[in-house]
Amino acid sequence: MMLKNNLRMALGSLRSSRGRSFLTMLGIIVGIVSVVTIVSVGEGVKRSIAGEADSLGAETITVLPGNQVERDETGTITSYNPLQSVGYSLTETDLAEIKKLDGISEVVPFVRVSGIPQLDEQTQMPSADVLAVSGDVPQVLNQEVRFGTWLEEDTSSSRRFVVIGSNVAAELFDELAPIGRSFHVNDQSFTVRGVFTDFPDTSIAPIAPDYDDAIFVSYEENKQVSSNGQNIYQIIVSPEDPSESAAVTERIHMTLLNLRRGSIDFTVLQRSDTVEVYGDILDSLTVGIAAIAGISLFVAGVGIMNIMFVSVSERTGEIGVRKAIGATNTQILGQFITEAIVLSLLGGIFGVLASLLANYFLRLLTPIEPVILPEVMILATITAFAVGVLFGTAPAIKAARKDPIESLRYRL
Amino acid sequence: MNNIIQLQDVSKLYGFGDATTVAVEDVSLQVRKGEFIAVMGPSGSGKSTLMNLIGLLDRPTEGMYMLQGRKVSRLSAWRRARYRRDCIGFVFQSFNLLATMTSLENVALPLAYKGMTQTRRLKQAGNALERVGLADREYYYPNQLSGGQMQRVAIARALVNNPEIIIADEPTGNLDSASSRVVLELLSDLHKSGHTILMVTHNPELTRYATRVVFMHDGTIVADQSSSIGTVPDIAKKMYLKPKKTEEDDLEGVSALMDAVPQKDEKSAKKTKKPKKKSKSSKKSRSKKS
Repeated sequence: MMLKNNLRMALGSLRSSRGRSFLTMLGIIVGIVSVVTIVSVGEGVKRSIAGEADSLGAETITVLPGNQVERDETGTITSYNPLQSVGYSLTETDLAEIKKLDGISEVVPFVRVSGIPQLDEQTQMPSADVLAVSGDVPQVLNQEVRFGTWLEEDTSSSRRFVVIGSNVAAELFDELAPIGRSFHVNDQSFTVRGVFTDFPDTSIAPIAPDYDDAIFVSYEENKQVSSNGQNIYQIIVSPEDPSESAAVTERIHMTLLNLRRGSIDFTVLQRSDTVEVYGDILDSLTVGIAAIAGISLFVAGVGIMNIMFVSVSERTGEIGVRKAIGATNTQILGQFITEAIVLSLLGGIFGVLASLLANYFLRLLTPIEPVILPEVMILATITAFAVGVLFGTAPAIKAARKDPIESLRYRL
Repeated sequence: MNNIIQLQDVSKLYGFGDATTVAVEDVSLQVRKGEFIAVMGPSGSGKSTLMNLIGLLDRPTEGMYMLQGRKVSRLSAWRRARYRRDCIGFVFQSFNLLATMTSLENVALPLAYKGMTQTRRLKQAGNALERVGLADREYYYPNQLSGGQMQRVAIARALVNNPEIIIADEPTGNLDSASSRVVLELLSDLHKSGHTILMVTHNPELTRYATRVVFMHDGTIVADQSSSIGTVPDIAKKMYLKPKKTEEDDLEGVSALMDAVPQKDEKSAKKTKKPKKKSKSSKKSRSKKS
């Protein structure tokens, strides 16, 4: 009952000083809009990553050297440390054992080949990655060879063939489809057999390396000429049945564990894990920036406290009258706290509505697609409420403590 | 003992050490239920402080105060607030209505602090406003009312919780004579209905409505006289209504001015109360005014 009365009185007194109330609310509104928008942009980017991951094709499993991730009991990744891969590599044995497992349709090893691809004296491409691979790479990378064909596993010809990414074609050859053209790396000569279509643009988050700059050579051929042709830096496995990918991942994990006699110096990642890793990174970033935006909410709270102090001073006479006719100190406290809460809560609600508006405009005018989760909206409202309670307390206590006789003097 | 208010050697001191001010000093007072007491005295005599003490807005520094037979001298602020809400109604010289509320809401305010629902509150407030004759001004804001109307709304607010005691601190101080009359008639009405009324006033005419007059000077009660309704007790007359001829002829200019003031009072008294003129001229008897 008292609550309803207080609410009514609070709304009444806020209505009578509309301009001032709105300006005070503005602080909360801005604070809420900043925090909600930042969090929703973060969420939107996470969803984009997941979406991109889906577009990268069927569930593939990536095996990496070194223990790059830490997991908790449920298997969720808790931390990601790519530096752990330094000094480790996967081996032929690993490759052979994985190939023996059930439920696998393709196994593709990746080996880095050193050397700068050169067309002639003047033209070279230092940024190109020469990778030795085997197996059905187009299937595993979910990518088509646009011009020409993929490599064949025949060592009959003396020429060494490569398939290149679209960037390589453009930079090294300045051609769209340099099929049949030759170039060399170190003193090895290679002929272009095919050019991949453009790999999907993962500009927002690099969940896959940019294979547009890659030159794919044959793994077997490379083994023959290179001394470290067995330094496999990644093995991509494609399961027969995508829905079985978790089981397959487990099998690979056990196999490798056995080979290493129980020491975990390898990483097996499902597609969802990759997304998770980037999701975690993004979360930390979002939290950091949101905390900075949260400072504005603090400032808004200080604004409310300030205005409430002024309000209490101005209404000293009114407080005296209320006490004279029987209001207890607690009732006066309740009245002023309610006013502060109504102010901040209304600001919070308007802030959430304004965030929805900001969301709409961001989607309209930028490539970002922020996602406002309902939990975020509720949390924002609760925070606004808390700000009101926190910063309204001090002025309300001041009002409650005013001596009625002294206060009545302020009524002329 | 039908004493609704009992003060025993009550003192109120402010400050400490060399700067101590004694506002009220060793005051003892008994008020029976149903009395209408006019409290008079010069400025600084402690009238308002005494009213604040009786009205539980303040606590005595020394002494004992019993209200309705219960000891209230050392009550907590919370309890005093409850008493103020339920047993005492205040009426102030400057009305003290809240400008942001209608007269109905103003009157209903004490009930809001009781936790009453909106509908019941407003209904009871409406009844109180009817009692003071302002039922048609329910939705007017204070700035749309005349002084007399505002004071009547304030009286309605003081009444709404049906308190036993009404404390009026110079209720007609800001009002013209016509409004003053209306307000006093209202207070008199309440007195007749059984309320106990304490009224601070500077106007001796208003003591006609009272059954008892108490004089204060420098924090103590110097005179306490019962009187019948309709008459101005001797003491009031002596203190406020100077006889036409005074002794101070030496300071001619000043005393002439001073003489002028009481004379003015008598003149206006003559204007409004014609029958009184008759009884005044007959210096012999004090006739009871019907």
